[in-house]
Amino acid sequence: MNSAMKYFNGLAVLIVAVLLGGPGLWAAKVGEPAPDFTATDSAGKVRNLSDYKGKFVVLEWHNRECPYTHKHYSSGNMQKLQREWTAKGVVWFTVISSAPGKQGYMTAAEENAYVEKMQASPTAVLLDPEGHLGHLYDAKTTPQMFIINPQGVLIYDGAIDSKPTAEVEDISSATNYVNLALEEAMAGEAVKTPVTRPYGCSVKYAP
Amino acid sequence: MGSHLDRPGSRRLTCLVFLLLPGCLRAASANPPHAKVTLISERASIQPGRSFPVGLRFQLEKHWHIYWLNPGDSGEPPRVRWELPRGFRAGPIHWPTPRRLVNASLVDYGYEEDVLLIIPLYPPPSVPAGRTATLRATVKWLVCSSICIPEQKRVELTLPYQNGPPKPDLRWRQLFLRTRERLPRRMPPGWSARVRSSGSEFILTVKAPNPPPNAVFFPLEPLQISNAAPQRATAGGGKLQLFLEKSDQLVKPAARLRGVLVIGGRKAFTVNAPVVSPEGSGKSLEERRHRK
Repeated sequence: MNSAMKYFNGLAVLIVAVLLGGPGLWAAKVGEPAPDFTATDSAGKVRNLSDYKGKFVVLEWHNRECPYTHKHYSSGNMQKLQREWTAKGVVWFTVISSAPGKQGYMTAAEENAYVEKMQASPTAVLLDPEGHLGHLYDAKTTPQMFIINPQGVLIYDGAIDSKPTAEVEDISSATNYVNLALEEAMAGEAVKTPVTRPYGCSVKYAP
Repeated sequence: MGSHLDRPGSRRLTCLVFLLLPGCLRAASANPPHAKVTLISERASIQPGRSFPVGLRFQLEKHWHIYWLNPGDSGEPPRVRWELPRGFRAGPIHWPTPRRLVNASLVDYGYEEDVLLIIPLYPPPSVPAGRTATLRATVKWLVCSSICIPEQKRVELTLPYQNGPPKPDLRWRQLFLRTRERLPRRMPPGWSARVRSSGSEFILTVKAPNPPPNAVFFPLEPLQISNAAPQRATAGGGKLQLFLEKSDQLVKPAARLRGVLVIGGRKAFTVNAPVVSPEGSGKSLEERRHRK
């Protein structure tokens, strides 16, 4: 590893201190206010959930080396969702909770290069190597998706779609729960499927 | 993907640095598999019209695991797509009792080391005499240690048809017998299981003679109980009680609790009990619904 990489690694550890708004003892639960958080993104910008009241917020737990995450990025499915929903005013945070040394851990620079390469378009990527944000939302898998409504209430927690496999060819025949929930909520309806079993790799938290 | 990735000389370095690239994933999956999978039969021949057990044997690399039907907090159970001769039908997988696999704050349910998934096959009643049947299947599974890799294999087994009861295949007979001992079974006559919903817990009560005060419940349905929460057990007075923390993702009341209960670390029983809530008549939700 060259010195530039070491520098970025160190920098990421520094920038990534996620300061939590709440005590962090209760986990996020659908139908209840989403726990507030403060996190630093891969551009070094501090993001508070409370700054996005009035908007829909999507949280996407991410580990690029996980085959299930890879399914949705190599196919362009995740990028398409990001593009389409952010164009409609949705705030989309990709969250990386892999601990340093664990699969999927990324420095800010590595992550920025990946976002550019994959032509991903989240609003921002939140770096969470200590797992604070992951534990606050009790994120278990990558990908796992959460949706928060403009009133700050958690309205969806679960899988990205209905086919829990690592195979790209399953995407087209799957029901996309993120689309369903956002469409229903934007139409002023209750989300019919607010909770599903998230599928994928375990989030690679610090032991 | 950038074409430079496809130059073999640069791949290793790129993978070392980034590990993220699809090319690296492809390279990784070209490594020897972490599970050796074979299709074996308990019997040496097929008797027309009579079902017979075959098994998918997973021999896992040390520290790697595959998943139960309900994989728990993460993971995916193995899947089988059969290509059987005309007239054959395959039954469901008989899942052996899994283990709890603890991974940081998460708990999965699965298998390590050597596991056999027994599957009954149903041959047609009449077959051409003196012929053989070739059974083929594509098996896909997720195998994980600290990381997860999807693997797959096409397996094949040819068996002769023979009228009359088949002889056991002595290479595999013990493995099938041992595996059957690990299959959950129905509770014996006189035993019973019921479930009460109480605040943040389900209380599973099993009436049984002198049960030991230790038990583990494996839920068949996801999102009912917290997989990672410790399960507290008490025993006495001819009953065992197990306190199961509800999942934070449980948003609708659970009508039934289905799963596998391991008592005393050895014996495994199937559980399929209505959930009774303390409110109202004391009848289960399902029973109330039926009355309407």
